[in-house]
Amino acid sequence: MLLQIQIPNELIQHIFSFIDPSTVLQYTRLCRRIRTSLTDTHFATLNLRRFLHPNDISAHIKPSASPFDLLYFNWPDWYQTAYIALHTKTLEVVDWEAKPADKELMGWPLQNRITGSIPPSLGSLTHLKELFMGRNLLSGPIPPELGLLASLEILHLRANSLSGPIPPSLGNLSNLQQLHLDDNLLSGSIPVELYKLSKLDTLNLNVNTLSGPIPPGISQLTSLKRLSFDSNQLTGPVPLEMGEMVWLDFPLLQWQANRFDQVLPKGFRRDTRMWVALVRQGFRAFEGDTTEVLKLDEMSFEEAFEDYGEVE
Amino acid sequence: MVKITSSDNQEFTISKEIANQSVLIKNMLEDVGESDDQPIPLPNVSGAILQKVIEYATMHKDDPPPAPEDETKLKTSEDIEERDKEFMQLDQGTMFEIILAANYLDMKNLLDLGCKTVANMIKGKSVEEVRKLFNIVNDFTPEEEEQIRKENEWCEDR
Repeated sequence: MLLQIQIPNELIQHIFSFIDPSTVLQYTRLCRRIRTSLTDTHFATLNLRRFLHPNDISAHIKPSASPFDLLYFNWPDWYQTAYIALHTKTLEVVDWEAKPADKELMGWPLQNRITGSIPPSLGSLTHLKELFMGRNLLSGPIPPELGLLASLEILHLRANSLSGPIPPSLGNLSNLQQLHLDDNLLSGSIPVELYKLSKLDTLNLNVNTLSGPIPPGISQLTSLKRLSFDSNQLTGPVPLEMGEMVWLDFPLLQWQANRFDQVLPKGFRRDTRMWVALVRQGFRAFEGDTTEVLKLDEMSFEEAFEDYGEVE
Repeated sequence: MVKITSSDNQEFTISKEIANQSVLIKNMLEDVGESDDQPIPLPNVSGAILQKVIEYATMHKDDPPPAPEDETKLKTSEDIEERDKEFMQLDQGTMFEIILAANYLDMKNLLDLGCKTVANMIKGKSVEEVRKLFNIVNDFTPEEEEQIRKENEWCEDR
């Protein structure tokens, strides 16, 4: 009873701070007093300080996921907050993409894969420029707090099981150049806020369950080179303004396996490689258009322009 | 020499270098000045515990002053000196009294030693074993405990 009754909270915290952060929280089940003492950011900080090597938290680059990084995704929120707060404020690159154990074996099996959901506390790493979390076993939503990463240039979340909508707050990442959200279970529509990303070079939304039309305004993405939203459930017409996005690197433009209207809107610009790409992928200029797509497929682009560039 | 008295009015006379290991006593001595030979009252510590604390302080009186914080060395509960381990072989009641006294007297090394010793008794044990060891009464309802057990699934039985 001594530990439960006579020892003040501060000393209970001192005692438990010497127990490894991977196991200490099981003791929140001992009794109410101890649960209260351990459910506390101050305690988490005390505990983590004892076990984290100073080199773990002072580096500007995290080149791989450490055992503590893996735990981070499973800790309760007060531990997550304390863990991130202990890191240097100038952390710039976090590479938590799961990597193959043996490069010789066709990239498999991947090791050190992270399970759990993305902690909102990541949003406080305001100097972060690159965040790689691809090929893990992450589930749950993308927390809106990632939109607080004002310095972020690259965000890789591909090949996880993330679900829910794309948070509109990602539109606040004004320095973002690459956004890879492909191969997840994301749903809802493409948020129009993403069009604020004036430096965005790559937008990869392939293989999700996004629905609804492409919202108007996409041609505001004037830095965009690579755009792909293959294998989603997008509907509606191909926006007229996409015909004007001549800066797109069209061979990488992918939009098959959606539910777009197969007839392009009237007035869609036809003197671009975008047009050829669309016709190649089965879109038609008007109802009843009998363009032989197969034949077009075999043509060079130059030939295609000759044949179709001037058609009204 | 410095005189101190316990809660049960036992008086101890100790050398200044031993007394100074307690930040509380050190500050008091600085406040009252050298000339005062009135005993310092320590109403929160019994004579029996004070005896043990003095024993610890005497054992460590010739320790070199603490090195500047070695940032690359982790301070976990594994790094207990052998003589300290022996010193802490006490019944639970005395052990917790010493922790409380070290906290009151502001003796960081002794406080760390006591807390590490208790932590080492807890480490590796299940919640049920720890409850038994320290007579901790489970005051959660079965529903609450089940809820906590679920939250803790990731860290139990590791």
